[in-house]
Amino acid sequence: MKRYVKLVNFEFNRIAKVYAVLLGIILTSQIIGVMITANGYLKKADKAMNEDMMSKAEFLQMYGQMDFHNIAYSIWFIGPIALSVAAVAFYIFLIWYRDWFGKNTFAYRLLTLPTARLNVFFAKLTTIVLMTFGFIAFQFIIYPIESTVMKWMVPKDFRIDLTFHELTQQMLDLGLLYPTEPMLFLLHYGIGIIAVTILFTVILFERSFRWKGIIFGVIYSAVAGIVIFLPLILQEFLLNGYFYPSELIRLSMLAGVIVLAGSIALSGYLLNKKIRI
Amino acid sequence: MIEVKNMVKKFGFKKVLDDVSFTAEKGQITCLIGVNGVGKTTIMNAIMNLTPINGGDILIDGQKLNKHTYEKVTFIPDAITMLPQMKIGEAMEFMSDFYDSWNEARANDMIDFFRLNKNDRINTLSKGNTAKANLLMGLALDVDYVLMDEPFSGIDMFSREQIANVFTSHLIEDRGVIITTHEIQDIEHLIDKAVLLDNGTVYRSFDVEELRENEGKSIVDVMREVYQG
Amino acid sequence: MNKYWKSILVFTMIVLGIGTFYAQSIFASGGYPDFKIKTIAGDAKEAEAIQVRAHYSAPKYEGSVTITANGTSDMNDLTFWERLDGMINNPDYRRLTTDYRQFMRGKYMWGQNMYEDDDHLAYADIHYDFRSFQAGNFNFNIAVLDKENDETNEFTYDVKDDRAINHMYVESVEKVDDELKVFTTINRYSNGSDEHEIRLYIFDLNTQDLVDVKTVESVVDEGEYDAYLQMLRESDTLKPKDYVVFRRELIEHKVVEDEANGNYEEPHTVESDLIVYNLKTDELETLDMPKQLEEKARVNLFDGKNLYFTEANDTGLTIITYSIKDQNILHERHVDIDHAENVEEYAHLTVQNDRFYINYNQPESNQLPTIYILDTETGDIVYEGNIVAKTPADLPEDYSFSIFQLAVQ
Repeated sequence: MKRYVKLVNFEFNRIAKVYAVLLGIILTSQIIGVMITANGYLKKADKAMNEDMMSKAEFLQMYGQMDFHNIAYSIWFIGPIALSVAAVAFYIFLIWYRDWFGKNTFAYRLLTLPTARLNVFFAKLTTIVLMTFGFIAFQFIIYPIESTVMKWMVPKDFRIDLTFHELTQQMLDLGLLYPTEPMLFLLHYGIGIIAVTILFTVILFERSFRWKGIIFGVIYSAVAGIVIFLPLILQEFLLNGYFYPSELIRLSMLAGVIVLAGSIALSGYLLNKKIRI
Repeated sequence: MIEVKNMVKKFGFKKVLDDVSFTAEKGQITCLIGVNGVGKTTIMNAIMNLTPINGGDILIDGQKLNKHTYEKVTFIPDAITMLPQMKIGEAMEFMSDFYDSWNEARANDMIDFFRLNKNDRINTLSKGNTAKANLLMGLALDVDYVLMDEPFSGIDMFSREQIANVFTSHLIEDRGVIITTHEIQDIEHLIDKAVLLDNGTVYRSFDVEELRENEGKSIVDVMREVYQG
Repeated sequence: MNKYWKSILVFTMIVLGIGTFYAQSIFASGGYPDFKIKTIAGDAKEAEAIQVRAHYSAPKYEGSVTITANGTSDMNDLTFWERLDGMINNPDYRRLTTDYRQFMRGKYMWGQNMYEDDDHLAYADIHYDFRSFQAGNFNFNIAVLDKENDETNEFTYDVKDDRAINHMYVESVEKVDDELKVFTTINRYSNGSDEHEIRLYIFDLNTQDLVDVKTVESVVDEGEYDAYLQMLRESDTLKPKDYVVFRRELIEHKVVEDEANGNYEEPHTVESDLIVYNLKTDELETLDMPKQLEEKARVNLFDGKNLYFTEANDTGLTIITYSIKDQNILHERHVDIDHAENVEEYAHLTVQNDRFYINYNQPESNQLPTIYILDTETGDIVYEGNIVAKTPADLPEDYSFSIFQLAVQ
């Protein structure tokens, strides 16, 4: 356990600089997004009221008040979120391959540490989870700041203030990343963690058997996918809708846990018995 | 004692190691000798469970390898096993974090002995100093066995001398060492035991002292017989 | 500890950020005002069975709310799992899946395919093999639950027909003694002359055999005339009935020439009459309706024994109750409604448990939605109320409220 925590800390420190830069990009880009969008809105209002001689009421009637949705759909806001998602997706692979490639084969060290090799696996998994949850938490934390910037710029009568909860409730795409309720958060990210674990297993297959491992990995992913979707498949084709949706989700969760346990067990086996430097 | 018994290793359908057996005792330096590609590194990787074997057993003090074994035996590969962006000091901290057997005092002795600077980053070191730092990470562990893969390859003469001196020092004393090299000259006088590998099998395994007394031959003589005869 | 600060920082950020966000979402009010039904006249108890579903939209919130006499709830008030099971949509479905969970497994309820009395719960639906190109692979799934001993009588029946059927579905399920009467609509599509048939299947529940099949009515589209057969179902579809009523309509699509907006088709009812099937005698009844009613606006409401005709004018809504058994008008009542201009369009009406419910909301006016309840026996107005925000200050200046469902539990 102590060595696991040390390993997590070590793995996280390895990516910390890049991570900090990404957080910086998110904050800067989103604040720029707030300013540009608010400015655009104010210019439009200025033009409408001073050049086209609209009254305030007429302008609001026509264009509506400004709220954070105007900002949230801009590339300045979504862009860095997409970048973070891509970064995590990429690092899922890099977190393993960076220890094998190049002249400095750090894998030698990691695999000869006096601790269970699965701890290395868990530390890498935890690092991916920390990065992901960190991004989510960071967005929650910086939103009030961004909201305040909008408040400074746009007068009260021209804006509607939304909480982040109110914002994501209406946005399906962001709602996927920041589900509005705890149960959905657990479901979405539970699926995410299971997927990462499967990918890790595939990577370990590849590291153990090289190109043949890729084939094993693909087969394993397919089997894992079938197990996870088994309740759904049975429900649809054999059981004629026997289960209520809530039961079906619970069964799928159980299947997910089975796949998770299977992936971990298999990864442990590969790390201990099959891995090649 | 490290015992390698009837080890078989295949790459695909090709047997690269076939029925390899030898032992390495504590307090002795055992040298694996063979031309490049004969499987010396593979043997070391197998002892450290860094590559699966297709047959045979490897025992360390009578036990199969497990996570605790890594407090007992260490491996010094031909390239440094620390992150290149780390400072030597940070690498030492890493080792001390994870290994109970890390001996900080000895590590500091070696820093002095090799004239290394703790604040240097590993990726800025010369080849020789990288090899020394690599050696430091392994030898500063209070382990019973040290596996060294080609410690002299591609290193300048002075570093080579310094490293060779390590073998006669207290850093090695009482430990069991398995070393691979194809430049036998530097350490010929230090070796207690030689294991000659050829075509994936052990051609001959002998005590260097006995051979000299009984047959009046040196390792190099035997090597000539094997590889040129 | 120095080298741990980054991990600790991120970990703290995660716990605080995600923790706060979800703590807020658990305690969040939902973002809409708490609506309730305020009694203006009559016994407040009358409104307790009402459940109004409306779309509420304000600058900060947009979504559906469910309003009862006691207050508002939205999706958030149900547990995650209850919402998954679609509990919100239909109070009957919620009750049935709670009380008869095992029986309701794998059953799709869309109202008219179920029947319930004190002792039994019956279900019928039609499955068909969508993978087959050949039409005619329709079969009934029938299940009847004996509530007392919790036994289910379940069987299937393959539909046999000489001619290909394109589409078939259940219109109504009625249990009369030991027989299950399943009314179906059968559609056959052919070029220009689509055929619609109401067909009744009668099953003996003891032997699980088909006892009788008969065509109640069938119509064919001809030329620009479209024929429709529809069951009157805007009432409690579950409970036992004396009659099943269908409306037959012949509609002509006249092309209206409009130079400004382009030509469009305007439907025009050529013929409309009611077909009444007596479940006890298994015979069709001929209604001898007063001319006044025949010419009246469409009837939609039927509670198993009475037909309810409505007529809207600027002052409100007139409800005429017609008894099928007695073949006469029971009573005629005018309900005064303010801002009644759009009553026909925006009033939600339903009859249940001897009560006639009116829920009217004029979305364009700032008028509060009103509720009237009439006693169907006497025709008296027994209740009048409004949907109001518990705290009027919660209601933003700019909001819209439109009712889309009136249900009575």
